[in-house]
Amino acid sequence: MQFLKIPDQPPAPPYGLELNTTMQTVATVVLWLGTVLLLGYAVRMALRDRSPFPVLLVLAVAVGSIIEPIYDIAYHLHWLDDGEQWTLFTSFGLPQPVWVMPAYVMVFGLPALLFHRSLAAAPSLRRVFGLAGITACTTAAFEITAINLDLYVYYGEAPWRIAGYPLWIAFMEAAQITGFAVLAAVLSLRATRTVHLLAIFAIFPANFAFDVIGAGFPTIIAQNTSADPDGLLLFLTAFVSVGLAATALWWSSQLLLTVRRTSLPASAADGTEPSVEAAARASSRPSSFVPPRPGTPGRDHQEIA
Amino acid sequence: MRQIPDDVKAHELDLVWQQVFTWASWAIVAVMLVIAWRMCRRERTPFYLLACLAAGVAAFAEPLYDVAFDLWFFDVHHGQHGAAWAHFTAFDVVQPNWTHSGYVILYSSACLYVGRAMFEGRLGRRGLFLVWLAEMLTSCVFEVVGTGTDVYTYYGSYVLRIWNYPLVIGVLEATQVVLFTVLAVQIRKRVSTPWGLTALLAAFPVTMFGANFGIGSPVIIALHLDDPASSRGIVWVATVLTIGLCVVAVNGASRFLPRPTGVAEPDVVPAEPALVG
Repeated sequence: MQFLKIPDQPPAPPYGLELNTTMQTVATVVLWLGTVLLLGYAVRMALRDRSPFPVLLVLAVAVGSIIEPIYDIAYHLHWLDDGEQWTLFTSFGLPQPVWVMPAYVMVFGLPALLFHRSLAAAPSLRRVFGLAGITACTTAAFEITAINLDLYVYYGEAPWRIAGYPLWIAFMEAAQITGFAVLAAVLSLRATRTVHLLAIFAIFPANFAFDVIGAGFPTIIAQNTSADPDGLLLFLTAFVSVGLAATALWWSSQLLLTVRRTSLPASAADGTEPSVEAAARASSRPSSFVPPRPGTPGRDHQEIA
Repeated sequence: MRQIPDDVKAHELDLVWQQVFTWASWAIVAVMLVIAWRMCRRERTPFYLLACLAAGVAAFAEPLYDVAFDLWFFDVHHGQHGAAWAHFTAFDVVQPNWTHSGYVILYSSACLYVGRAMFEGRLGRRGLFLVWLAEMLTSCVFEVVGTGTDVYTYYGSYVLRIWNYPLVIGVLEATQVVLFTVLAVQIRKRVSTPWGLTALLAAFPVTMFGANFGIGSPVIIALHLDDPASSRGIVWVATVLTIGLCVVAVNGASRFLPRPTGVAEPDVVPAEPALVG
């Protein structure tokens, strides 16, 4: 039985910190402008490919951004708000700035939009984990910049902190971002009817939670068992979480390789880099998953590959 | 941050039902472990025991679920905290030890009763949806008892409640079980050594949160909007949307069911020497 008084936990957000309103304006304008441009690019891509998938992908990420408060409460992210924040909505008592949605589109949607077709055409573990390495760096750069410009903070004890940013989060986000690109590639290959593409609206939040919360839980729980958690414990659990995230990404990659394997030569079947010629040869053969009907998304991918 | 209503925090725990939940659930787990052990011996695989272990270990993630879905385990007796047989507290939510046994019962039992059929490719799309419905029923029975006997509560402004139990919780949990079971069986199909099956320890939390937090995100966010009273319509829409997404997810999972024994899986590459470059 537990007779002891429960300690205060977890740490409370630093409500008193001042928001940098200039940077709020910059972030809002730049990110919404970027989102409009990206959506325009997606529309162009959709018209060229005769498939609504690029547009649906961007919209799925935008709609999926409502998941952010769950992330905030789990990872101790606090959007600064001293009465000056331009708030989109509030959930869990955490006001969400208007630029959260375009930030999702630019940080999470952009890589998937740019890379899902090449991943579908010639997938390999090296490409997937290479992309994850790049997105870990870009995410860290984005977040360190935003934190140090007084837009938000990660409060409380956190492992691997560099310039105010808990670096382990970059790896978790990289797994999520790359995993989404991989699953988008899988969906584009497996979909045989346009309506199937709507599954992207379920895939984005599920993959987000799958990687960020599911794999992150050892560290998240350790952070929230006390107002002053053990630093060494957090340092170690972060390795466990990053390991789980890498495993989850590996699984997603295996799914993509499996889907593509039936139409790729054996050299690519073991996850090694397929040659351009091999990918081209493979793409010239009909996939068992995608009936070669003109006008379908699968057909479009055959052409793109 | 979230506010737990004072009347919920001060609600008295029913000590008799705590006893029932603790002893009965651990007894059921003991029986399940015996069954799992016998199945493991017969089929020469640690799959079934590891499925139970994966669910039991992942119960340490329960506080995250409690925060998102407004679940509160009662902990007060005669006005004093500390009545729950708890082993840790996170996010302020006291965790009774039977969360681990509850996880094993609710989330790994499908591996025991349908895992082999699925592994041998004898379960199709219709069968998977029947498993989904069965899991929904099991979840409803377990949780209707728990929430109806002053052991714990879902205090959020849910809609579609069966007695005290929000239906959407049962739908999400059943979806989680389906996703975990399909992934677990696929892992079993693909690993070459028993050690490879320890991947189930990772498969459980990722599928659990992928389903509950990912597919369930509309309802989680809707429940925690600024003014729950005025957002009731949004909660309705989010609940229906979430249930719809669960149907999509189960249908999607059915595409990854193993094929019957003797039929090649898609990743078994047919020999095409002429194309090897």
